[in-house]
Amino acid sequence: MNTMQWQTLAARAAEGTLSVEEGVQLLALCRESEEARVALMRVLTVERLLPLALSDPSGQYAAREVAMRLQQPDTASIQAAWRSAEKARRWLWQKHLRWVAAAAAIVLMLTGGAWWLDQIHTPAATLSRSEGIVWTGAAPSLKSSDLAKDTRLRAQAGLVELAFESGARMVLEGPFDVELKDGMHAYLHSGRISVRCPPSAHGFSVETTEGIAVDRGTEFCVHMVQGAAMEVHVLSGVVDVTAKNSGPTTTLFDNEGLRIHGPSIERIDADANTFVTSMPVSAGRAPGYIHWSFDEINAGTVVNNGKDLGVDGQARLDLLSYPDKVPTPGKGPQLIEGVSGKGLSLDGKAVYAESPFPGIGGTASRTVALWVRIPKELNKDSVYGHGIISWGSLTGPNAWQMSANTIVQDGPVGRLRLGIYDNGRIVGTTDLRDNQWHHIAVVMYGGSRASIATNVMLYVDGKPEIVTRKTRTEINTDVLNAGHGLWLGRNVAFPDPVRNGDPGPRFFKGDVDEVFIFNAALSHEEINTLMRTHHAPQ
Amino acid sequence: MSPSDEESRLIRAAQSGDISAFATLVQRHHAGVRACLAVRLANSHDAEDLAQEAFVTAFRKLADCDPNRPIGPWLRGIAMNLLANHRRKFRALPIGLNEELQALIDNGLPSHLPAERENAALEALRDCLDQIEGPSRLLLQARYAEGMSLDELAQRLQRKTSAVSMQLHRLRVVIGDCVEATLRGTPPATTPS
Repeated sequence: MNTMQWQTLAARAAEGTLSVEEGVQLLALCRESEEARVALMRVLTVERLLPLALSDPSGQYAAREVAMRLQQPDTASIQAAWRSAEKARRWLWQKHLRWVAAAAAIVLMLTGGAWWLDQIHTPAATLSRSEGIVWTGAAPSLKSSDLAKDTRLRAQAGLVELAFESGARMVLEGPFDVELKDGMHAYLHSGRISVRCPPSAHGFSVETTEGIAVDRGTEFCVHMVQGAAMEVHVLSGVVDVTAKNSGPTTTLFDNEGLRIHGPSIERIDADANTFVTSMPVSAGRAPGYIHWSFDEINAGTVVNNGKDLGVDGQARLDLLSYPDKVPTPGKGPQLIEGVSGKGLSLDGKAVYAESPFPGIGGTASRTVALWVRIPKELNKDSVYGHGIISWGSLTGPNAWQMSANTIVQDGPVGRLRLGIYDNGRIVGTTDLRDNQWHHIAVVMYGGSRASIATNVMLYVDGKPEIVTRKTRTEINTDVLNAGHGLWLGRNVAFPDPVRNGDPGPRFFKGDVDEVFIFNAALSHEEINTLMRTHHAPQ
Repeated sequence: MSPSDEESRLIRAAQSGDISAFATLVQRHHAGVRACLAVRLANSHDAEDLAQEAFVTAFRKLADCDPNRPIGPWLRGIAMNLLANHRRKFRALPIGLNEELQALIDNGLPSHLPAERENAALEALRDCLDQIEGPSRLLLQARYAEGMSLDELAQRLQRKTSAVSMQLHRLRVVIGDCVEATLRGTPPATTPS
């Protein structure tokens, strides 16, 4: 058997992407080799059983759906029941019996299954995954991932994914405050959530002080600002939204949204970019990385100890003194005692370092982590000039710069900040201005809808950082048109050559050590390992 | 083999119209019925829909069910009849648009997994999955539980679609070997990681 050929063909057969020519080849292989045929059957069996093996192991959802259908003997299916309900609701609405209609539609869907849910003493949901979570008050018990009915979850930062008993999956983005009423109902006091409902969770509802959104087989998001407006954004499918204080039920379809604030109801466009709709997935491979430890320096150039990132010597780091273009011994940033071996001291006047490595571009995943010591005197008068590490171009929000914030309007001064230029930024909480070493890390989860608000996590001293300010700007780092490589200690907004009217040098004052750049999003655990060991996670 | 007393009681209760008793039977036998449909259908949604249809049909025909005999094979028979009707009504495009290859697979899968062994295979598969952790587990979860496409996965992992496809294939091969060994009662020397 031609193993490589069989592997490719069997993979495509399992995925349903086999071309006509490949179909002929696979058939020939199976005919000439019993081993190939048996192996193909084995692979196809696994492919077909995997969805079943990874869902509903207890058969509970299936039993519930069957029971619901048997409760409605005159309708062929749940979908048919819904269509009937929808027709009735529209007819009643036209007859000005709006409240009756809304109630009828919801009740018809829920009553079939409600009795069954009550029969089963199961938790409302399980906590399936979390990333960088900072709970408010008591964290859920770590002994079990089960969350009982009426559990209230509050967090200041991070992401959590809940799997509801009904099959609904919810991603919550900190800060949030939510009560898990039961497997089909959550009460959102505040925060941003996204919900994906399989057929078994049709009728799943999210309630707030302003209204209630009832799923009808869909993916939708809810944003609730405590004491203010509720927004519902439908990404796909259909959702019924009923305001608490007024009006009929509004049916929303794909890409439609609704904002409710007291008696005010306003239609809006759904904006998927502003919600985290799925948990970050790790790279599934050992990431490439750059590592500048500053322990080995040759003629003013820092050696890169990393691997698989920055090829052909691109990832060296030249220690420079502005405006010199080549390292000159004694003129660039100075070596000092660092957290581990040597570190680098930058004076905030004219020294910085540059690497030909252009940085990680586009929407690709990345992690930047380093130790930093920031002087107490950094204040708002030190406006600009404090780019710790940066790359990218200034043509729109296409840059990438980590700094200690110095712009009062954007957030508290001295806090970890990631700026992508053109008003795109996220600012943390911990004041770094204490002349002590702190480990800082910024993790970006890639993806087609990468936004600085939803795809970036900040860590200080190994802990997820509570965010004080953030914008919802899309990340698309442009490394091709920057005109320079990666900068350490120089503000990306201080171009070269200097433009007329620029306010003068913008360099970072402080010390850095053990700089790591990864081409993948590291987990919270991996950030902690990095902080402790100064070695890339394997 | 006669069914347990409890199962006989549940069947009798369901025959008298007790939906909750029938729901308990569904819960017990869902995996077996769904598994035997799943290995015979390329589309997992069709298998799920047909399994549900099989149970609804079974409830309506419960008078024909002998409470003194196991209900599993009876349910499976209903599911197979529905599958035959489904194939008559909805003729799916053959794999690789190749009728012969499709026939080879249609005949090969049931003989590869003899009747009523699907549930055992599913159990073995779950055991083998328990041994997979880390990124591989997350990948399987994203693909098969969350239904992400290969392109979506590739985009998220910043890898080529072909690379993701081959990683999934390797996992399927490893899991397949593990299932086979478990069914034979000789767990593999090395477990997938």
